[in-house]
Amino acid sequence: METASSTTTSNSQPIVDAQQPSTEELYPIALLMDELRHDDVASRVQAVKRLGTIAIALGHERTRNELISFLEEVIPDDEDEVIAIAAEELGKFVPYVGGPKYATLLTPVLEKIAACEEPIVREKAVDSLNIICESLDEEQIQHDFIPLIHRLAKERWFSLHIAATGLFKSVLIRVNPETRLELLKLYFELIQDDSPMVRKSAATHLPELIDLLAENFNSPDLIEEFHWDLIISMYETLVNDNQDSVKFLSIDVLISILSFLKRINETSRNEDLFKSLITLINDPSWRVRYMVADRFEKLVLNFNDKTYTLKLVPNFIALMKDNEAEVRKAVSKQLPGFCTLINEADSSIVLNEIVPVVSQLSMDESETVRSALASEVTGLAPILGKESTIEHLLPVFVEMLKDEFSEVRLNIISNLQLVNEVIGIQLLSESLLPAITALANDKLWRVRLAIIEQIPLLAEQLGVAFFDEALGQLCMEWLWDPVYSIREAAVINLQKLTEFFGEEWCKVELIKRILDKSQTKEFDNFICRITCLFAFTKLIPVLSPNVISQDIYPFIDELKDDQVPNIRFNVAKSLLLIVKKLYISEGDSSEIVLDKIKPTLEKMCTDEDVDVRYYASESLKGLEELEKS
Amino acid sequence: MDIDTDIQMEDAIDTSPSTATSTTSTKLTSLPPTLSQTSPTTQINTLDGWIEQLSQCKPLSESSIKQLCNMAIDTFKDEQNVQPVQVPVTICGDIHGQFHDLMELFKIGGPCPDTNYLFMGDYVDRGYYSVETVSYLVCMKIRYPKRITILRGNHESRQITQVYGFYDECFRKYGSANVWKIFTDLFDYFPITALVDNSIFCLHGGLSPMIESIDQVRELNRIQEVPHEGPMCDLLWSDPDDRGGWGISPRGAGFTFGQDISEQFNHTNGLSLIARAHQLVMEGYSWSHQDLVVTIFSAPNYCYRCGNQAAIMEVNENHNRDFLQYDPSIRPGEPTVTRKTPDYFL
Amino acid sequence: MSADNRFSSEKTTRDEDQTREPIRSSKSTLKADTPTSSSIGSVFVNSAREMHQLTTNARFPNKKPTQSILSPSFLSASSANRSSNKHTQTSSISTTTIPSFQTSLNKAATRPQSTPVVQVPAKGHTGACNNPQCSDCGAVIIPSPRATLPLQDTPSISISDWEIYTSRNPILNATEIETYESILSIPVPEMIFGNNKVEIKYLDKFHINYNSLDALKLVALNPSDLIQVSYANEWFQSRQQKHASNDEVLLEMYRPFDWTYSTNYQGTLLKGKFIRDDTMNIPLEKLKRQDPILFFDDMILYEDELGDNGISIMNIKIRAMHSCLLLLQRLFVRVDNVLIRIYDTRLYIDFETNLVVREFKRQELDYDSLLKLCTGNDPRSLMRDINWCSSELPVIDVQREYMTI
Repeated sequence: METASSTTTSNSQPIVDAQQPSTEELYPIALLMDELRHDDVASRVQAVKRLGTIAIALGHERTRNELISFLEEVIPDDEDEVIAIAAEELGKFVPYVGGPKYATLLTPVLEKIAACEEPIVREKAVDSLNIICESLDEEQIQHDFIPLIHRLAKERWFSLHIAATGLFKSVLIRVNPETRLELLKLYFELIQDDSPMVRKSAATHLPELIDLLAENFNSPDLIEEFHWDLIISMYETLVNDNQDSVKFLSIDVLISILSFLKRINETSRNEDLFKSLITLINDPSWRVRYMVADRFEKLVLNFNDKTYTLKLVPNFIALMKDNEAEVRKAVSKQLPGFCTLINEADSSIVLNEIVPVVSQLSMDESETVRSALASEVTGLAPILGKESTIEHLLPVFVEMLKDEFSEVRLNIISNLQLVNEVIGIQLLSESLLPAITALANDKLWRVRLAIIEQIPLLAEQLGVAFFDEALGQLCMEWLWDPVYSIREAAVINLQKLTEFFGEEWCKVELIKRILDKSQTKEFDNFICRITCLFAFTKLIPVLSPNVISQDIYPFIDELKDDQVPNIRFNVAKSLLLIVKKLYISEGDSSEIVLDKIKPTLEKMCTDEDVDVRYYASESLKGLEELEKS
Repeated sequence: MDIDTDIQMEDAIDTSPSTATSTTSTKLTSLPPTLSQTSPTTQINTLDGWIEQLSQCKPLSESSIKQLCNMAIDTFKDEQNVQPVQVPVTICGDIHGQFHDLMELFKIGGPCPDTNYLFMGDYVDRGYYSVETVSYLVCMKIRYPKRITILRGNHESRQITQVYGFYDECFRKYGSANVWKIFTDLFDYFPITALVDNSIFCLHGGLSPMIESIDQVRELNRIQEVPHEGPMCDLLWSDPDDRGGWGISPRGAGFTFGQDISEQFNHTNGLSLIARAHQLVMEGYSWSHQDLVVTIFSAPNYCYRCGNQAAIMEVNENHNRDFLQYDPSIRPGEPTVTRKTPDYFL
Repeated sequence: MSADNRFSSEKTTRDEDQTREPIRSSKSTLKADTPTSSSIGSVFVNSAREMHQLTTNARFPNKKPTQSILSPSFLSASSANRSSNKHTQTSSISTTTIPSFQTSLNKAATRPQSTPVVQVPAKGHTGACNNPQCSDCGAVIIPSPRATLPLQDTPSISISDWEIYTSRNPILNATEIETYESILSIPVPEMIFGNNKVEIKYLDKFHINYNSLDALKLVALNPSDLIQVSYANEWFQSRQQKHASNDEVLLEMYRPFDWTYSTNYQGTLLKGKFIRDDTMNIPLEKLKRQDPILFFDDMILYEDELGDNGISIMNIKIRAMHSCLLLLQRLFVRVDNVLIRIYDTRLYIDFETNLVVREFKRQELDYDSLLKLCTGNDPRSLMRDINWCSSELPVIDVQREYMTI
């Protein structure tokens, strides 16, 4: 059921249990019609959500004659949330009114809704109009939909203009050349609209339109239908818009245009477009520069010409040195992609020109820039190759591993795989260890959590010997962290390490250490005991029956009489896991199950604590089911 | 979920907002067999379902709340005014409807039932998720009565909740005051104090000049609205003060108690500590009266604007105490507003 | 980890012109979360989210704050002056939550002919400054607090030679409270934002500062007309009987003080001298004109729940336009079933004439009388609406003073 319970925040709607089944059929239609007139918005929202049900019940004819006109009358005056849902529902209405033949009956009400200022509502109306348009035939498009677009675009009301910009994509390809030209001219008007909001909306939808044209009219005989002159005029208009919030949208338009040219192998226009890109890169507004930075690799790919790739290097470097942190951050993200492309053109540039700036960026004053760089910089290692990486990038990694912001360190550590593949991480280990240790003791527990999650990957790359020496101790220490979530992650970490390093390692490095711990005074503490229990329990699935019966089971069994009930009922839970594991493997260990575990669980079923009894009986049930099968 | 179909019907009717408040309540009173009368397994499954739903901050339906509170009354009425609690236990202070921070609390302290909890009141008001918070805690209480103890705070009262948000929230989320009424009726049954292993006396506010021994608390009739005066009021309202003896608040009502009072009380009753909540502290916990009294506050960034830390106190079976401080939870994906809205105030 | 908040912001921007319709877009955020019925609730929820975000950012400085879109940039005045859209003034379907600001930015507000030099941060600003500016139209600069550890923000702006600094921080910690209480010799309010301040300067000729310590210094000790909660008598009498035989329980108040924290504080004037003139009005017409706001801030100095007997809250709002600024410091006291009180200090500064006007207005009414004025099915909710109270409470007195620099 689509009710309030599916979203946490839709507070005002009546609250229904998630597990309750649909009750739609319980509602008489009359009540629903009534509810649409209800004073309470929440009721109307609920009612509108069931419009489809009403329509089915009414049948095609009554839906056409009564429901649609009723909606047309009441909906546009309603609250935004009611309208939004109605708009969405109406998009599904074509079958309810009797099929495509009658689909245009739905457009007047949606046209009214599209006049709404509220973007959410308007977008829903536009989406539904586009869906309905799919079912229309050419005649209907020409007769109804095109005039609709014209009306919306010509009305003196910005909201309608915005709505209009969203509708072109549905028809642009489906109309005759004459109408298409007309539509594009109309679109050009919207691109030049008085209202920046309309221009923005038009600019936003333009790349999609260009892509559509490019998809359909890329052969020499149809190329005219692309209307190059109009498109390029729209682009130029956007590039010269005096609102940067419109201007920055021209970058996606440029990408679409370049992609079209690339497709038809046309290069004569590149120089002009390149010039316009250079102006955008040097725009005084950082948002425009940001957009270029963010799309840099895409732009270069679509120029598809090494000359331009090389020409753009100074601009790329300029963006890396931009005085706006956001721009530097965005361009940092493009480093590996762009450097791969430069490398194809000239293999000396990355090392000689880019890497020095990377070093500077690694000391950027903004931590978000450093953080963004940290997550990408390791990607340069494969491009530079082993020697250069060791000589030039390694110092950067080492520096960043000492960064005062933990996220920078974390990002380097999280992306070490690429470095490992090129130079191995042994070279870094000296710097790596202090960085990991510092993160492991960070005062923010979520940072500690993040580093624990990296440990299995690091272990894999470092190898068992180095790991034991350097990180083994750390992994054990996390088990005794004051924050539960860290202890939980530490337990999961042990399981993963065991999967990787194997059972023998686990016996020596983990099981023994935990057993040692149980001999200390700390074991008097409930948290220590339950953590040991959790750790052993988590290991059960990844150990052999042999180790389980020799090492794990005796430890868990000893805790069955613990003074704290919480330990006892967790023992009950663990015992079932042991049973399951031993049963699967069959062999000689089943005697533990029958001779020891079953009586233990049976005894626990009479425990003084209700929860111990509950979990023991649940486990016993599980055991008996296994016995049966 | 095998719930009687009757109940589902009831649910459906409840959710129909056209049902007038008065008729809904009469319908609810004539509800067919409640879950408390059904088999224990069904009850556990139902509770687990509710807990699952609530843990995602999705409130229960009105009829589920009704069932829940009926079950809860059965649980609470058997508890004592001074509810005995075993160690180990983790002791928590005010939550005030900050549901996501309550979830953070469990991430720090460990999930219930693996960890035992004692909450010292003030689950509702102020924050935006009082309904979810109190529903969740009550569900946990019924599901694991031995693992979690919840005491009454001064905000668990009809009068206070009408002013400080819980009433409004119920009205907003359920379209009527029914849920508020069901919960405030339940609050009357909450125990008012707890005694951890005969050593730590836990309550929301503080001591009362009319209570010298814990036995006197046991004699109170607690099942009522929090009165304006008297021992029960004091236990939920009073504050420790630097000044000795009993003091009267300059507001004209309410007591403060000095270190001498705490010393005497702890001595008389063989206590090592009084743990209480009720007051906002920047660090999440604060000692007073030379470590005879501790204030614990578990709502980080209280009212979403104070920037304070929250804390919980872990007491293990050897009576060692550890404080865990924490910050507001991170809620990824939650829509954020990036700028303060200027207005043309005059 | 590297989630690009910027990008999501850009997306919103594309959906709708955010800056030209700031309320529309924030409203759409609201709508998605909390539809219907409770417009005030939505606003609160919204600001709660905002605050939560800030705190989280504060505690996790490595996370990118979501205000990224508002980072420094300064647009040319030409784009700011761009003719605005005439359509946006009318609104066909609207459930606006914050009415006054709705169309303000679209209304192409009248601008002073000579544009003063605006500088962000202010000339005298030291340390980091995260003032965001409207990246779109350039006309509005709204300091949206970018929190560092701990939650704090220190925005500032210079307009001509006027400098405005504000500062927002978390409540005081235990040590700071101790210091405060030793100075004040009263318990501080429960939520004491002791490090918050608003400061306005003009060269070495004018300097005023608003802070909670100075405000609390004016709270009455041992007041003759000590306010008592509604049930005080009832409480006291029953206690008197019960504790008559008990020597330990002295039913005497120790060092009584005005626990409603009412204060006549009007700011701490460090430079300059006001001349009293009650006829000196603040030019409301000019302030009603919806000129672009260059600087806006809103903060609490202190707040106390009066032991759940009501509320006492001291709040400051400031907005600066090209030609003038207005500061409103408002103390709102509600003692349930006893009284409602509002003390307003307004500070108006005209940047064009260098005229400073300060107005102090006191309003008060007993609770029951105000309750009688409430309508609707939940009258008490109106009693919690400060703006409504302010419009209904009778004025006790008004003082005005001015200075020209």
